[in-house]
Amino acid sequence: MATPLNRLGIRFRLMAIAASALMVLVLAGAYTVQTSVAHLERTHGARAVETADIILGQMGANVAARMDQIVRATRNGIVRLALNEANERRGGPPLVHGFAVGTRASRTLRDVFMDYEQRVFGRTVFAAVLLTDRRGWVVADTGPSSGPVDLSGAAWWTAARDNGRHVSEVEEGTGPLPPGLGVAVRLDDENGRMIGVARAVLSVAWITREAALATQLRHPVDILLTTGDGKLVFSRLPFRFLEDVSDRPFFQAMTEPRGFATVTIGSRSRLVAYTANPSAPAIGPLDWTLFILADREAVLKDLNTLRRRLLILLALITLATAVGTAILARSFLRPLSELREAARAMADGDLSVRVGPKGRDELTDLGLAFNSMADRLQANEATLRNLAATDALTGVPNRRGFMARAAAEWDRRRRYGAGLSVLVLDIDHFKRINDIHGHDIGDDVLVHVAAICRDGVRTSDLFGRLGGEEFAAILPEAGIDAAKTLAERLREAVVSRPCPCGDMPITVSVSIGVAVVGEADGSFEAVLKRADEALYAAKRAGRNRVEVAA
Amino acid sequence: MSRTRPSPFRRPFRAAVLALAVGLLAACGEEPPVVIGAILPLSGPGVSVGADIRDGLALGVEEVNERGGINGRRLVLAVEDGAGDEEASRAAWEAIVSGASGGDDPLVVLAGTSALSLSLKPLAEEQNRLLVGLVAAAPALTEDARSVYRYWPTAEQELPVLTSVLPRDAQTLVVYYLDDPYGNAVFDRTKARLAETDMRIAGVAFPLAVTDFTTLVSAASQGDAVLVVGFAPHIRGVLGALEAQGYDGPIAATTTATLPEVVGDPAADGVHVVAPAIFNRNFVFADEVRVRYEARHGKSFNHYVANGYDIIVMLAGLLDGRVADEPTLRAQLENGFRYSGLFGNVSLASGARDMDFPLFPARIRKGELVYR
Repeated sequence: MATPLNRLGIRFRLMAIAASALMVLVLAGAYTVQTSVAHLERTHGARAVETADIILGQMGANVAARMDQIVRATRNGIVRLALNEANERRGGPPLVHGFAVGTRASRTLRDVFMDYEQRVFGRTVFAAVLLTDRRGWVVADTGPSSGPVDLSGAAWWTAARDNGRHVSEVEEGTGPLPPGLGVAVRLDDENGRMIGVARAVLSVAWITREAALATQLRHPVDILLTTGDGKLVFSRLPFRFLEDVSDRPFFQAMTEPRGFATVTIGSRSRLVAYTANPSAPAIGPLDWTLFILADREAVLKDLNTLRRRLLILLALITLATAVGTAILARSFLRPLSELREAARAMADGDLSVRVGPKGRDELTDLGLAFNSMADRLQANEATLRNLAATDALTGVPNRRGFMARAAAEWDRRRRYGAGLSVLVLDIDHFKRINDIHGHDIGDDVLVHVAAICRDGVRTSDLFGRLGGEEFAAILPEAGIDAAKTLAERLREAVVSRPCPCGDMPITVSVSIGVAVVGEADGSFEAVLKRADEALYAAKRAGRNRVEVAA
Repeated sequence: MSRTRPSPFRRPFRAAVLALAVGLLAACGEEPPVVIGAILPLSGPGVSVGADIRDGLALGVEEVNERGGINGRRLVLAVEDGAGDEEASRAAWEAIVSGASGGDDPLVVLAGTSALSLSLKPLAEEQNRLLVGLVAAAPALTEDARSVYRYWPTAEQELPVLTSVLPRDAQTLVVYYLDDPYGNAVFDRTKARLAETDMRIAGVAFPLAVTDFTTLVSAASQGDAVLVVGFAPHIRGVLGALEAQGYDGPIAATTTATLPEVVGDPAADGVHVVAPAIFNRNFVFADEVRVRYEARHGKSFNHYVANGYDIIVMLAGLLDGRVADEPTLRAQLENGFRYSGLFGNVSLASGARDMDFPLFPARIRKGELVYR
């Protein structure tokens, strides 16, 4: 049944199978590589976010530690005395000059929090420190002060009083306050009673230093720390403190408190991981966001190397598969094509064609079967041809076989110019033998005479039965004398050897007409006719004799 | 002569091929590189310093380029030897700015050591080209400068840390100092800074070429503390002579004493120094660069190398996401910035020319620098 598929050649179908397999292979490879890239990006992003969390947590812990430092420093005797005396007065600003602003307590604060750090470690942590008593009056200040000030109305003061700790926004520095991160801590005595509030500004240098130390990642990444509204607090690249970066692509990429995204500017893609810290448990709201920017190419460098290798491997596999498929297809198509050509030749009548099967597969079996079938067909055809050209009774060529061979001899004679003679024999009084002894004996006589004559001619000669009791012989390269001699020998052999049939042998004779091909003979039939006329001449002359045609 | 009629497809085909070729060329064509000129002492007495700076610059350029250059543009270094007299430094300058050193007009010229930077300053100011002095402490480099910057600690920046490591109860401080602009500046400023204390300051100047420190040290009367200012051979020479003389009082030295060749000298054991952050092994960022450099060059990493490396990374960072041209860089420098690099947290105040260079008190202990 014809289907759309079997309308296509096997070659095409094999190619389609191979192409489909290759396509599946390529698609699977590409999908695997693409999935790996996406997975690696996700993994990198998740790790970077985790790292950002840790860094931001570390920053928060460092801020908290510095707030603890303020609390401990207020245990200093001079500072504590100033606080106690200020708290003991009833209303109004501190009056005891020894502990008021700009006096020993302020110097102590400056020495403990600023000068000592600078002198011993060569760095600054606090840009300013200020203490108020429990009512909000300033008791000591490391910065310039114009006199007793009541700060109880400040938001940071009330927040620290109520919550214990307060972290302000990072500020550029206004008025007497230096730039930095403002923090405030409520100060309690040993009984938990509030004795004041300390406010400090952590210096920009400290923020930068702590951020730099916390962000010493081994991989080449850019790290940026911003306030919630996009003011730059720190960057691994050169930066300006509190520069507004809220319009930068990496900041715009932030769509949730923590996550990662890919930002592409021109030809450069960067993986951006970010995490915001709206509420650090130890210190209250910090509201910073940390960004880790990594060059996508750098992150995927190893994978890209692997991807290149995979693509090369895939290409090699594809090539190998294509070559393998071609070889495989050839192993199918070559024997099939050979079989097809052989079948076509056989259909055209050439039964000698054979295929050359090699191997041990089904197609080899098919080739062997084809050859076997061809052998049998050829044998059958030969048998049929032989049967068609042989007289069934006497076993010598019948008229058809004889005339076919005669035509070939005639052509050969014409080609090479050799001589050719023809004998025509007829059993004398054969009708009488049939009438007297019956047809079976007649047949035996025919067989007997045919056998004598067949054995009597040369191997190069051809002897056949033309029909009835009439036989003929072709004698290639035989002249008139040789032909007449052979004819005499045959006549003599027949008459001298009675047919051993029935109870008593029957002696028969033959009359023979001889003709030699002459220049006037245009065909074999003409020569045969002349030999036949010589035969009848022999018959008329009394039988059992040989007559030569004129 | 016969002329065949052109195929009707030939002209569009040619146009398509041309368009394809132009497209391919445009796709393959890179943006012009960003050229950074460097004039360093690569011969004569300062060759080791110049070679260290050059190697640091090269490492920085290589790493910046590995990360995509400056906004996709490759960084190219054009280096000239400027050692010798003023004529030599001028010739090196001309070679750099004219492009004869290979490369286009440089974005900025970096110069190594005080002497070389100072000789190039008038050219930079006159031609309004950016010049950054590396390993250049001479105060005059940036005085009244418009186009000249410095990325190296000045004597002024060293002093707070330097004086902090001196014993407060010392009555007499003897300062052995190299008789050059930097050495004189350190001596003068130390005297001025300690003027309000009761400490008596005695200076012993020595010339650049001196090699016999035994005579120098034995001729001086030692005080309660010693301060040494000079290049590494001078510092080692003074320390060796002091040790030979049996001096066991406190000794302090400037940043140069943090060079590995001084730190590794047994005579330097116990010396108080003013140290940059790069030798602190806990400073991972610097330590990684150290490991990479030492693996590549097989020699010790030092602050000259770090200075070269860091200026490149800093410049690349200043231009990140911006147009990489001279006006942009000039504006960035003019506006000031903070930068956490190999030396820790460097900053340049708006309008300033000297970068604030963090230094830390440290002490040499058994061939290692121990930071406070």
